[in-house]
Amino acid sequence: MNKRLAAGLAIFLALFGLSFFSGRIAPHEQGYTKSVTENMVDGKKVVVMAPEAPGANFVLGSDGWGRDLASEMLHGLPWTLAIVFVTGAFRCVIGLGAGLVMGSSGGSGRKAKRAGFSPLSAIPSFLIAAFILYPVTINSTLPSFGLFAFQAAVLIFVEIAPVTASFASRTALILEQPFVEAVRAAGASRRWILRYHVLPFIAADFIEAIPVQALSVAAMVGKLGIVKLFIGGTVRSFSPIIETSARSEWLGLLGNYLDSMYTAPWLVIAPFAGWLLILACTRLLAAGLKESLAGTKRLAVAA
Amino acid sequence: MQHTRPGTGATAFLSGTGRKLARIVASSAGCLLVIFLVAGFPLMLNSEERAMEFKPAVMVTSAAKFVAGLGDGSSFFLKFGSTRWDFRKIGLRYARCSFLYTAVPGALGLGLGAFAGIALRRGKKGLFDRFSNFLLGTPDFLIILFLQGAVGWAIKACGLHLHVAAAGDRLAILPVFCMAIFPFFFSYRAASQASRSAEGEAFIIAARGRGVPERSIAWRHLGAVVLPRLDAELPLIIAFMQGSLFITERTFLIPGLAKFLFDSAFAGERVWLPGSIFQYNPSVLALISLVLCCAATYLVLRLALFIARKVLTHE
Repeated sequence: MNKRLAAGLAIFLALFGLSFFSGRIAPHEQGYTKSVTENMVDGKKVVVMAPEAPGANFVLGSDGWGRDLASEMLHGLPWTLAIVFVTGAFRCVIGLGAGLVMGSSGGSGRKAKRAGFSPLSAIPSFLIAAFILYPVTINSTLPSFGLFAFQAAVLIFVEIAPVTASFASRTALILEQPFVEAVRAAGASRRWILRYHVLPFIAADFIEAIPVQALSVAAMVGKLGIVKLFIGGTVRSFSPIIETSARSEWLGLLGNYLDSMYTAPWLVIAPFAGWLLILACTRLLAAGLKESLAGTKRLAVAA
Repeated sequence: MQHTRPGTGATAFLSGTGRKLARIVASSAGCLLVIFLVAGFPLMLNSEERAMEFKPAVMVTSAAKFVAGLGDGSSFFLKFGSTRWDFRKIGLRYARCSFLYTAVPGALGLGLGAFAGIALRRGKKGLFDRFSNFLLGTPDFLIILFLQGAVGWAIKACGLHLHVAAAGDRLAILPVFCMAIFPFFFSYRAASQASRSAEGEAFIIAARGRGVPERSIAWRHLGAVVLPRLDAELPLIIAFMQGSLFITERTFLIPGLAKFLFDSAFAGERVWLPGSIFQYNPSVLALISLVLCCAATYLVLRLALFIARKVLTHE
């Protein structure tokens, strides 16, 4: 195992392990607020109003409504990991399945020319996801798991096309090879060829694609957070309008506290650091897997 | 008997132009359909009583109402809060802002990136290439947020009174910089790869052999190799910039189309519960304007590359 893969796995396993106990080790329950605290400074009582900077009362500080950021982040960890890694893995599985079907039925993009300008490039995929998720995410009445599953499905399908195209072109490339021609001439069925002659060559690409897609999902969740659409739901209260993340997943918290960047910077720094941890984990896993799988069965032709 | 060869002369020109026209019409129609569909999602989907409802008919009726309202002008009216606005009067200002924040950083990023790519072609693939790959693999909004925070805090800490990220429709330094980062590194990567692979080509070796100055080789010979590569990368660069535009406009409060879209779509007249009223018409108008703006940016940058090629190669 190379160093990068080991480091990526260590971060992943540490986060994964922590997520099992995060709810129990959190100092407060989710949604706990304390907007006024009393501190003793030089023997005198000093009243501190929220937001409070990191200190004895709140390890990572509190937000404008007195919510403990450390507790919120610990409660949000399982949701963060689930949306990033599970959705990334599912996107790869569905992309692989669709790619195998497309590539073996002649619908590969391999012969297609490099894509030219498309007017649809003006509409980024996160915007499509935002419009689909808006009506069901704000003050959602759906059960938590149902909402999460729907959000994950949207995140999978809005960017499934490039993943599918990539696997389809690889499948088509492998199917053109002489060894496949030989098995086909010997009477092998399409299913047999895909199972025993295509999949072994694509397996390494598939494993490598998972952290890459996890990062792609994380980026989209982060962007959705900036427009106040959070995984697990957005709680919107009125008069004044306040939008908060129902599940406090890390990527959304960054968008949630974006407006506090200059007034209460600790609210941005902690989720930003969490984001960097996810980024480092996915990047290290991607690079490590690439290095580790370099010697495995793979076609020595550029796809 | 005389036969006209297929694929030559006026017939070929007409069929070629016809095909192009048909492609443009088909792609515009497809684009409009997608816009109606995307803008219709918040009306089609609903979650009430712990179940999800799907009403595709609402999308069709809304699109039909929008088209019908174009005649009497009712489709152009929108509400910010409780104030009524006419998109025909304010739309151009938003579009101009978005166009400037994509075309100017796009041109700057492409030009400087190509220059850096050619200038640094001789160096071994090292730190700058790794840095470029690292940045291109990092989500754009993280870099934008980092820059916004870091520059803001640095200015505050230094006690300077600079308005590098001032919200308004004038070009501000920091948002332009944020928007130019990705085109710069895309362009750098494309230019360095193209010029490195062209270094060993016969026409470069022949030019050196003839005693052509290195500067002229860099400009005229390598420029001719790099510019078509940039031209090919342009759709990808534009698509990437469109994604960044939403984050830049939102974080720096720039009054462009992307911000207009979110402000107008989801911030219409509010009712007490359950939320704000979704406005379909301004969403469609903003999406159409975004597409037009994106196409205008693409055409301007392509024209700039074309002119640059003409100037450099004297073709």
